[in-house]
Amino acid sequence: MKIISRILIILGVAWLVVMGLNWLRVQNLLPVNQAVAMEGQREGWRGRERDFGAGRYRSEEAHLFAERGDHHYRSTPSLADAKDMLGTLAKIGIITVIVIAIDRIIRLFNRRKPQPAT
Amino acid sequence: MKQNWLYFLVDGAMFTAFLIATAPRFSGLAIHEWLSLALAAAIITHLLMHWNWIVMVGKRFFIRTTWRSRLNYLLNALLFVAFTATIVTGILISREALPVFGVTVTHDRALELLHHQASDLTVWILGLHVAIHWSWIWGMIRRIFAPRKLATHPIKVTSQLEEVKR
Repeated sequence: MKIISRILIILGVAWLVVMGLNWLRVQNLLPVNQAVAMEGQREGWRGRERDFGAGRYRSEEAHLFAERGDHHYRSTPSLADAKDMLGTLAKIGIITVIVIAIDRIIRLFNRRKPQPAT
Repeated sequence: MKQNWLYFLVDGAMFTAFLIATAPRFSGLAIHEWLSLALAAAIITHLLMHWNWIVMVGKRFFIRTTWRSRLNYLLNALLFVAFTATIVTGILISREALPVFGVTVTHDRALELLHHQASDLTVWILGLHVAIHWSWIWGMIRRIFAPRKLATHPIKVTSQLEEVKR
Protein backbone atom coordinates (compact mmCIF):
# COMPACT_ATOMS: atom_id res chain seq x y z
CA MET A 1 0.00 0.00 0.00
CA LYS A 2 2.86 2.32 0.97
CA ILE A 3 4.67 1.60 -2.31
CA ILE A 4 1.51 2.16 -4.38
CA SER A 5 0.91 5.53 -2.73
CA ARG A 6 4.55 6.50 -3.36
CA ILE A 7 4.28 5.49 -7.03
CA LEU A 8 1.11 7.59 -7.29
CA ILE A 9 2.97 10.57 -5.78
CA ILE A 10 5.81 10.18 -8.33
CA LEU A 11 3.33 9.89 -11.21
CA GLY A 12 1.42 12.87 -9.85
CA VAL A 13 4.56 15.03 -9.76
CA ALA A 14 5.41 13.87 -13.30
CA TRP A 15 1.88 14.83 -14.36
CA LEU A 16 2.36 18.31 -12.84
CA VAL A 17 5.66 18.64 -14.74
CA VAL A 18 3.89 17.73 -17.99
CA MET A 19 1.11 20.23 -17.26
CA GLY A 20 3.75 22.88 -16.58
CA LEU A 21 5.51 22.12 -19.87
CA ASN A 22 2.20 22.24 -21.71
CA TRP A 23 1.46 25.64 -20.15
CA LEU A 24 4.91 26.86 -21.28
CA ARG A 25 4.16 25.54 -24.78
CA VAL A 26 0.81 27.33 -24.90
CA GLN A 27 2.46 30.57 -23.74
CA ASN A 28 5.17 30.11 -26.42
CA LEU A 29 7.85 30.10 -23.72
CA LEU A 30 9.53 26.88 -24.83
CA PRO A 31 12.60 27.14 -27.12
CA VAL A 32 10.74 24.99 -29.65
CA ASN A 33 7.41 25.95 -31.19
CA GLN A 34 5.71 25.21 -34.48
CA ALA A 35 7.42 28.14 -36.26
CA VAL A 36 10.93 27.04 -35.15
CA ALA A 37 10.07 23.47 -36.08
CA MET A 38 9.00 24.51 -39.57
CA GLU A 39 12.23 26.47 -40.01
CA GLY A 40 14.27 23.49 -38.84
CA GLN A 41 12.31 21.33 -41.20
CA ARG A 42 13.29 23.52 -44.11
CA GLU A 43 16.95 23.50 -43.06
CA GLY A 44 17.10 19.89 -41.92
CA TRP A 45 17.20 16.66 -43.87
CA ARG A 46 13.80 17.32 -45.41
CA GLY A 47 15.21 20.50 -46.89
CA ARG A 48 18.17 18.56 -48.16
CA GLU A 49 15.78 15.99 -49.55
CA ARG A 50 13.97 18.77 -51.37
CA ASP A 51 17.31 20.13 -52.58
CA PHE A 52 18.11 16.69 -53.89
CA GLY A 53 14.81 16.73 -55.76
CA ALA A 54 15.85 20.06 -57.24
CA GLY A 55 19.09 18.50 -58.49
CA ARG A 56 21.53 20.04 -55.97
CA TYR A 57 22.88 16.66 -54.86
CA ARG A 58 24.92 14.21 -56.87
CA SER A 59 23.24 11.00 -58.01
CA GLU A 60 25.45 8.84 -55.74
CA GLU A 61 23.90 10.63 -52.73
CA ALA A 62 20.41 9.57 -53.74
CA HIS A 63 20.38 6.63 -51.30
CA LEU A 64 20.73 9.05 -48.36
CA PHE A 65 17.04 9.89 -48.36
CA ALA A 66 15.68 6.79 -50.00
CA GLU A 67 12.74 5.09 -48.26
CA ARG A 68 12.90 7.50 -45.37
CA GLY A 69 9.49 9.12 -45.52
CA ASP A 70 8.63 10.52 -42.11
CA HIS A 71 10.97 8.10 -40.32
CA HIS A 72 14.28 9.54 -39.15
CA TYR A 73 15.60 6.32 -37.71
CA ARG A 74 15.63 2.82 -39.02
CA SER A 75 13.67 0.20 -37.12
CA THR A 76 16.53 -2.25 -37.29
CA PRO A 77 19.65 -1.91 -35.09
CA SER A 78 22.89 -0.84 -36.74
CA LEU A 79 26.25 -1.58 -35.15
CA ALA A 80 27.87 1.05 -37.35
CA ASP A 81 26.14 3.76 -35.28
CA ALA A 82 27.56 2.60 -31.94
CA LYS A 83 29.58 5.81 -31.91
CA ASP A 84 26.39 7.71 -30.91
CA MET A 85 26.40 5.79 -27.65
CA LEU A 86 30.11 6.38 -27.13
CA GLY A 87 29.50 10.09 -27.76
CA THR A 88 26.99 10.22 -24.91
CA LEU A 89 29.38 8.30 -22.68
CA ALA A 90 32.16 10.74 -23.57
CA LYS A 91 29.93 13.75 -22.74
CA ILE A 92 29.04 12.29 -19.33
CA GLY A 93 32.70 11.36 -18.75
CA ILE A 94 33.93 14.88 -19.58
CA ILE A 95 31.37 16.51 -17.24
CA THR A 96 32.32 14.07 -14.47
CA VAL A 97 36.05 14.75 -14.88
CA ILE A 98 35.51 18.54 -14.88
CA VAL A 99 33.30 18.48 -11.77
CA ILE A 100 35.68 16.15 -9.91
CA ALA A 101 38.64 18.38 -10.83
CA ILE A 102 36.82 21.50 -9.57
CA ASP A 103 35.84 19.64 -6.37
CA ARG A 104 39.45 18.52 -5.76
CA ILE A 105 40.77 22.08 -6.30
CA ILE A 106 38.20 23.53 -3.87
CA ARG A 107 39.08 20.88 -1.26
CA LEU A 108 42.80 21.55 -1.74
CA PHE A 109 42.36 25.27 -1.13
CA ASN A 110 40.09 24.65 1.87
CA ARG A 111 42.73 22.37 3.40
CA ARG A 112 45.46 24.96 2.90
CA LYS A 113 43.38 27.77 4.39
CA PRO A 114 45.12 28.91 7.62
CA GLN A 115 43.19 28.12 10.78
CA PRO A 116 42.31 31.15 12.95
CA ALA A 117 44.25 31.34 16.21
CA THR A 118 42.24 30.33 19.24
CA MET B 1 26.09 -3.66 2.42
CA LYS B 2 23.72 -5.80 0.32
CA GLN B 3 21.57 -2.70 -0.20
CA ASN B 4 24.59 -0.86 -1.64
CA TRP B 5 25.16 -3.64 -4.16
CA LEU B 6 21.47 -3.61 -5.08
CA TYR B 7 21.64 0.15 -5.67
CA PHE B 8 24.82 -0.30 -7.72
CA LEU B 9 23.30 -3.01 -9.91
CA VAL B 10 20.03 -1.14 -10.53
CA ASP B 11 21.82 2.17 -11.22
CA GLY B 12 24.38 0.43 -13.48
CA ALA B 13 21.60 -1.22 -15.47
CA MET B 14 19.77 2.11 -15.74
CA PHE B 15 22.91 3.88 -16.92
CA THR B 16 23.56 1.24 -19.58
CA ALA B 17 19.93 1.40 -20.72
CA PHE B 18 20.16 5.19 -20.89
CA LEU B 19 23.30 5.02 -23.04
CA ILE B 20 21.61 2.62 -25.46
CA ALA B 21 18.41 4.69 -25.48
CA THR B 22 20.32 7.84 -26.44
CA ALA B 23 21.54 6.13 -29.61
CA PRO B 24 18.36 5.25 -31.57
CA ARG B 25 20.35 4.73 -34.78
CA PHE B 26 22.42 2.10 -32.97
CA SER B 27 19.56 0.31 -31.23
CA GLY B 28 16.89 0.79 -33.87
CA LEU B 29 13.64 2.63 -33.22
CA ALA B 30 11.73 -0.29 -31.69
CA ILE B 31 14.40 -1.08 -29.08
CA HIS B 32 14.84 2.65 -28.42
CA GLU B 33 11.17 3.10 -27.59
CA TRP B 34 10.66 -0.06 -25.54
CA LEU B 35 13.91 0.41 -23.64
CA SER B 36 12.96 4.01 -22.83
CA LEU B 37 9.61 2.86 -21.45
CA ALA B 38 11.45 0.29 -19.32
CA LEU B 39 13.80 3.07 -18.21
CA ALA B 40 10.80 5.11 -17.09
CA ALA B 41 9.74 2.21 -14.85
CA ALA B 42 13.34 1.89 -13.62
CA ILE B 43 13.38 5.61 -12.71
CA ILE B 44 10.30 5.08 -10.54
CA THR B 45 12.08 2.12 -8.90
CA HIS B 46 15.18 4.28 -8.35
CA LEU B 47 13.06 6.98 -6.70
CA LEU B 48 11.31 4.41 -4.49
CA MET B 49 14.68 3.00 -3.40
CA HIS B 50 15.87 6.47 -2.36
CA TRP B 51 12.51 7.61 -0.99
CA ASN B 52 13.76 8.15 2.57
CA TRP B 53 16.53 10.50 1.37
CA ILE B 54 14.07 12.44 -0.83
CA VAL B 55 11.65 12.93 2.09
CA MET B 56 14.39 13.70 4.63
CA VAL B 57 16.21 16.33 2.55
CA GLY B 58 12.88 17.69 1.27
CA LYS B 59 11.73 18.34 4.86
CA ARG B 60 15.00 19.99 5.88
CA PHE B 61 15.66 21.81 2.60
CA PHE B 62 14.89 25.31 3.91
CA ILE B 63 15.75 24.66 7.56
CA ARG B 64 18.92 22.71 8.21
CA THR B 65 20.95 20.75 5.70
CA THR B 66 24.29 21.04 3.89
CA TRP B 67 24.69 23.05 0.68
CA ARG B 68 25.89 19.89 -1.02
CA SER B 69 22.61 18.16 -0.20
CA ARG B 70 20.61 21.18 -1.37
CA LEU B 71 22.52 21.27 -4.68
CA ASN B 72 22.10 17.53 -5.08
CA TYR B 73 18.35 17.82 -4.39
CA LEU B 74 17.89 20.63 -6.92
CA LEU B 75 19.92 18.75 -9.50
CA ASN B 76 17.85 15.60 -8.97
CA ALA B 77 14.64 17.62 -9.31
CA LEU B 78 15.90 19.10 -12.57
CA LEU B 79 16.91 15.63 -13.77
CA PHE B 80 13.40 14.38 -12.99
CA VAL B 81 11.87 17.25 -15.00
CA ALA B 82 14.22 16.61 -17.95
CA PHE B 83 13.57 12.85 -17.86
CA THR B 84 9.81 13.41 -17.67
CA ALA B 85 9.92 15.82 -20.62
CA THR B 86 12.02 13.37 -22.66
CA ILE B 87 9.81 10.37 -21.91
CA VAL B 88 6.47 12.15 -22.40
CA THR B 89 7.50 13.79 -25.69
CA GLY B 90 8.96 10.42 -26.72
CA ILE B 91 5.62 8.72 -26.02
CA LEU B 92 3.78 11.41 -27.97
CA ILE B 93 5.93 10.85 -31.08
CA SER B 94 6.14 7.08 -30.69
CA ARG B 95 6.01 5.10 -33.93
CA GLU B 96 6.71 1.59 -32.69
CA ALA B 97 5.52 1.17 -29.08
CA LEU B 98 2.18 3.02 -29.06
CA PRO B 99 0.78 1.38 -32.23
CA VAL B 100 1.11 -1.97 -30.40
CA PHE B 101 -1.55 -0.69 -27.98
CA GLY B 102 -3.67 0.50 -30.88
CA VAL B 103 -2.74 4.17 -30.42
CA THR B 104 -1.51 6.09 -33.43
CA VAL B 105 -0.12 9.61 -33.13
CA THR B 106 0.15 12.34 -35.73
CA HIS B 107 3.61 13.46 -36.73
CA ASP B 108 4.60 16.62 -34.83
CA ARG B 109 7.99 18.10 -35.71
CA ALA B 110 7.89 20.51 -32.72
CA LEU B 111 7.49 17.62 -30.28
CA GLU B 112 10.32 15.79 -32.01
CA LEU B 113 12.66 18.77 -31.60
CA LEU B 114 11.56 19.17 -27.98
CA HIS B 115 12.28 15.46 -27.42
CA HIS B 116 15.83 15.92 -28.77
CA GLN B 117 16.47 19.05 -26.68
CA ALA B 118 15.11 17.46 -23.49
CA SER B 119 17.25 14.39 -24.20
CA ASP B 120 20.38 16.55 -24.62
CA LEU B 121 19.59 18.37 -21.38
CA THR B 122 19.13 15.02 -19.62
CA VAL B 123 22.59 13.89 -20.78
CA TRP B 124 24.25 17.00 -19.28
CA ILE B 125 22.34 16.82 -15.99
CA LEU B 126 23.00 13.08 -15.74
CA GLY B 127 26.70 13.88 -16.14
CA LEU B 128 26.48 16.17 -13.11
CA HIS B 129 24.46 13.52 -11.23
CA VAL B 130 27.17 10.94 -11.90
CA ALA B 131 29.89 13.45 -10.92
CA ILE B 132 28.25 14.22 -7.56
CA HIS B 133 28.00 10.51 -6.73
CA TRP B 134 31.37 9.60 -8.22
CA SER B 135 33.10 8.82 -4.91
CA TRP B 136 30.40 6.22 -4.12
CA ILE B 137 30.49 4.79 -7.68
CA TRP B 138 34.29 4.56 -7.62
CA GLY B 139 34.17 2.97 -4.15
CA MET B 140 31.80 0.28 -5.42
CA ILE B 141 33.93 -0.37 -8.53
CA ARG B 142 37.02 -0.72 -6.35
CA ARG B 143 35.19 -3.19 -4.10
CA ILE B 144 34.57 -5.40 -7.13
CA PHE B 145 38.27 -5.64 -7.92
CA ALA B 146 39.82 -5.24 -4.44
CA PRO B 147 40.51 -8.38 -2.40
CA ARG B 148 38.33 -9.03 0.63
CA LYS B 149 39.73 -7.32 3.71
CA LEU B 150 40.45 -9.25 6.91
CA ALA B 151 38.22 -8.54 9.87
CA THR B 152 39.58 -6.21 12.54
CA HIS B 153 37.05 -6.98 15.28
CA PRO B 154 38.58 -9.34 17.92
CA ILE B 155 35.72 -11.87 17.75
CA LYS B 156 35.79 -11.95 13.95
CA VAL B 157 39.61 -12.26 13.98
CA THR B 158 39.37 -15.26 16.35
CA SER B 159 36.74 -16.96 14.19
CA GLN B 160 38.83 -16.38 11.07
CA LEU B 161 41.94 -17.82 12.80
CA GLU B 162 39.92 -20.90 13.79
CA GLU B 163 38.85 -21.30 10.20
CA VAL B 164 42.49 -21.12 9.08
CA LYS B 165 43.52 -23.74 11.72
CA ARG B 166 40.84 -26.16 10.46
